[in-house]
Amino acid sequence: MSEIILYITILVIVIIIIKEKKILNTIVFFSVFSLILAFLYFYNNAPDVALAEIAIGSAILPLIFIISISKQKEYVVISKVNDDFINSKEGELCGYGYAILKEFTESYKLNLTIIFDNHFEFEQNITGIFKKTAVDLIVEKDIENDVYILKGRRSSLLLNKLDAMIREYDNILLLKLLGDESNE
Amino acid sequence: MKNSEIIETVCSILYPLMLLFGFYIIIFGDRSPGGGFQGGVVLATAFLSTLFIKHYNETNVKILTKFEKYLFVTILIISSLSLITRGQILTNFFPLDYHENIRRYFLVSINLLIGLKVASGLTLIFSLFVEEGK
Repeated sequence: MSEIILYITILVIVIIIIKEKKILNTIVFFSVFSLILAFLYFYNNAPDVALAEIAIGSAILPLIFIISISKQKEYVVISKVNDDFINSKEGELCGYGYAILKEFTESYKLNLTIIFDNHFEFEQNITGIFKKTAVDLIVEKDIENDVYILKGRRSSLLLNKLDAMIREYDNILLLKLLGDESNE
Repeated sequence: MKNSEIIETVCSILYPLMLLFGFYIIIFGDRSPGGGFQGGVVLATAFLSTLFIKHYNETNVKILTKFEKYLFVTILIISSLSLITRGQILTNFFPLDYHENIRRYFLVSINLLIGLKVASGLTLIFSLFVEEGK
């Protein structure tokens, strides 16, 4: 009898997982799904598989999903300029370049993080998962031509939207670099 | 990342129990459901729960990497011991006419080593995954 109840519950939960729109709720329901699946394995004389399913399906996989979602929400920009384009006055960021980046990241619901660093370059070597920094964009200034240069990775699809947004500004240039493509 | 007090307290209470359960699954793996891999995953969840409370440091990763490599070599050596005692590779190193309670020690030792290797490997993958890009 309890087995039939479990079968019905697992069907209901699978339908909830498919229909649910919020991604965090989906992960929690996925964890519940794995737990019930482990019970079903146990009822069907496979306690070994049930143990592995409890440990992996309901603990480790949701953890991987949650960590990767929280990682996706950050957009790191390294700024080498500190003038009208982007500047920090008394801890508050302002400038018209900052306004563009803010609008760009808010359209994708990302958190914008700007770091002021004058000596940063994309790593050219293959460092794989051991690389220390995940920088999405670098802001530089070409003093001779008075042009602001935004450097990003060509593999990032988000840059197409930024390209469309800065088309009306003459003094902003978007460069798509090949670097770090081996990590994707 | 700042953790709440509830998570810290609950994790520190559950930590020894999770360790006990993991080692139980590993050591009784030849008699009851479980084994090296399942127990190792339970151990890894126990280690990970403390890893997120405490602040992570890089020496941890280096020690774990070395530990995992040595464990792998030890597994190979122990499973090759049967070449000396019985003339075959990758089997029990006790002769077959020994009592079951003595032959069991081969399985227990292999399970223990596999469990520790799985635990250290999963902890390593996770800590690298969390720290990547920060």
